[in-house]
Amino acid sequence: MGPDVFLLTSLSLGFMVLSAGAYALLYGAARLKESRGLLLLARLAYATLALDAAGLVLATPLALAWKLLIAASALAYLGIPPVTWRFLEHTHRHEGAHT
Amino acid sequence: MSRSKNLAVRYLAAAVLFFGVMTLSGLMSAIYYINPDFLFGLLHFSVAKMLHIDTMIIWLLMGFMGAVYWFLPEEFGREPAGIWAAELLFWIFVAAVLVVAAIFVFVQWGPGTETTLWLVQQGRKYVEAPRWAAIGVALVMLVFAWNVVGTAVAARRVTGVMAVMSVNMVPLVLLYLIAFPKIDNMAVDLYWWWWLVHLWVEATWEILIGCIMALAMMKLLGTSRQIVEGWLYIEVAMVLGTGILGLGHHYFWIGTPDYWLGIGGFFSALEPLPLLGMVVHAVYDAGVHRMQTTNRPAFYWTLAEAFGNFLGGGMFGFMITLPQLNLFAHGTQWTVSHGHFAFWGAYACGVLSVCYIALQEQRGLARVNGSGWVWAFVLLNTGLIGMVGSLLVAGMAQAFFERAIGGSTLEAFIAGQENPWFMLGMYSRFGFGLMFGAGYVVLAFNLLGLGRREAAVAMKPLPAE
Repeated sequence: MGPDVFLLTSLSLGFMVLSAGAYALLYGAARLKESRGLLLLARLAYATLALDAAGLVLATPLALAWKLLIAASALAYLGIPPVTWRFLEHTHRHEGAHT
Repeated sequence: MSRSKNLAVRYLAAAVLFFGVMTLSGLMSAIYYINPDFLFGLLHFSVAKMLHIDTMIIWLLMGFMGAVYWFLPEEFGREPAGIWAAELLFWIFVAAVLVVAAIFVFVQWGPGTETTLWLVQQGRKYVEAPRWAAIGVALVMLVFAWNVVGTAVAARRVTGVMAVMSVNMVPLVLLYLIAFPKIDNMAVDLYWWWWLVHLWVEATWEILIGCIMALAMMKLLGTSRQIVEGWLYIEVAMVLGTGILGLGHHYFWIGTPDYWLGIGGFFSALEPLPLLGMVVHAVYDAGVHRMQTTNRPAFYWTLAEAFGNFLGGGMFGFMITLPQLNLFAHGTQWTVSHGHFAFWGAYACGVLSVCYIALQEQRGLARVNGSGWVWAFVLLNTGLIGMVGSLLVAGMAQAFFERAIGGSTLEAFIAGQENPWFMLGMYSRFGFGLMFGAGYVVLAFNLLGLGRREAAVAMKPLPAE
């Protein structure tokens, strides 16, 4: 792996997780405020993540196993915020039913 | 207040004191990078660094213990079993830390003999404390475990949080025993040493802070026990699933078999996933409670914990965890950057949150507010983010020029150290370090004076009519 590619790959991996954080933050804010605009921004953040992951898979010299892991992680990042949110709503509703 | 809570306040005060020592020795360590002649012949860089990382372990450990002693009587409705031993050991613990610090500063090192191991230092990073002090730490951990488990047994009941904490006491005590053996083969020594450093920090400490934050959330936001315990179980599963074998990322390039590259890379890459759930949870809590709480500093430090852990542990870790990239970044300032951010996010913010929770009750404050904590929060977090950003730039310069271009030769190492980007990072780190130090001073004054002004106003006699 050449010096430039190394640096670019590493930064892309960091950017992927940063985009995931932005997606989670915006998704949560969109659900709280019931805002379509924020949900659109959340989707844009995820699209950025997906593009970044695609770049990592297609254009870097990482081994195939790591590329598969990156692709699987990108898919997992898509599901974590909605699943977590549903779980939170479910548990808090459940708590309300008991009080 | 109960004896346990009084002990908790003492532990939290000691933690904040050693947080200051850590900050000061960190600033000193930063100066060596921009002026290698600093304290030449008086105090070597390695000693300042040793003080910095050892006090980091000690202040966080004391913070955790303070937090647990604070919540124990509330969980069990009684004083902890063996509280007298804990009270006694607190003073011995503090005195031992001060004596060890004095030995580090004034004696520094000795010949490679058993006497040095027993009386001066053991020479293994993070656990340099001489053996007598290490035995003391093991004893403190043992009594701490007795306080937690013994109280549950004596109370004849256990909550979910305390059950997790009690089980966690076993590895917390046992793993520390790895601080003792003297192993001559460096690869074998590092293999076991990482069990202590990684599994203490990324497994037992993660679970301990998870338990503490669960108790803090119930106190701070009135979140139900059912919810926090549900999340705690998920966290434990995630820690066991990713954190334990994530140990493998420390086994890169130290003489361990090749399969650790795959194991370490795979499980470390999974570590950001549960942290993303934590970010969503933080947004949910902040939104549902509309940022309204009677203790804003504690709440904000809790939020800082969630975001700091995600960015420092998740994002900064993911950049360097795959073996093909770690080959270049391992052991550079890039790793230091990740370490600083992850420790801050995962642990320090949580301990500071508990400090405010404890002081609110101890000083009988209906609300905790004011501007002091805001200044401390902003200065500390901006300083920390500036420091880790600077270290990131310096680490990238090292990985790029020294490793990827220079091929890790001695000449390349020197070229990397003299590179303008590296030096810029070092100067900038020191500048932001000063900001962090200023934040610490404001924090210490804020904690000391919290509620005192209100109390003084309340006690002032009203003018005669």
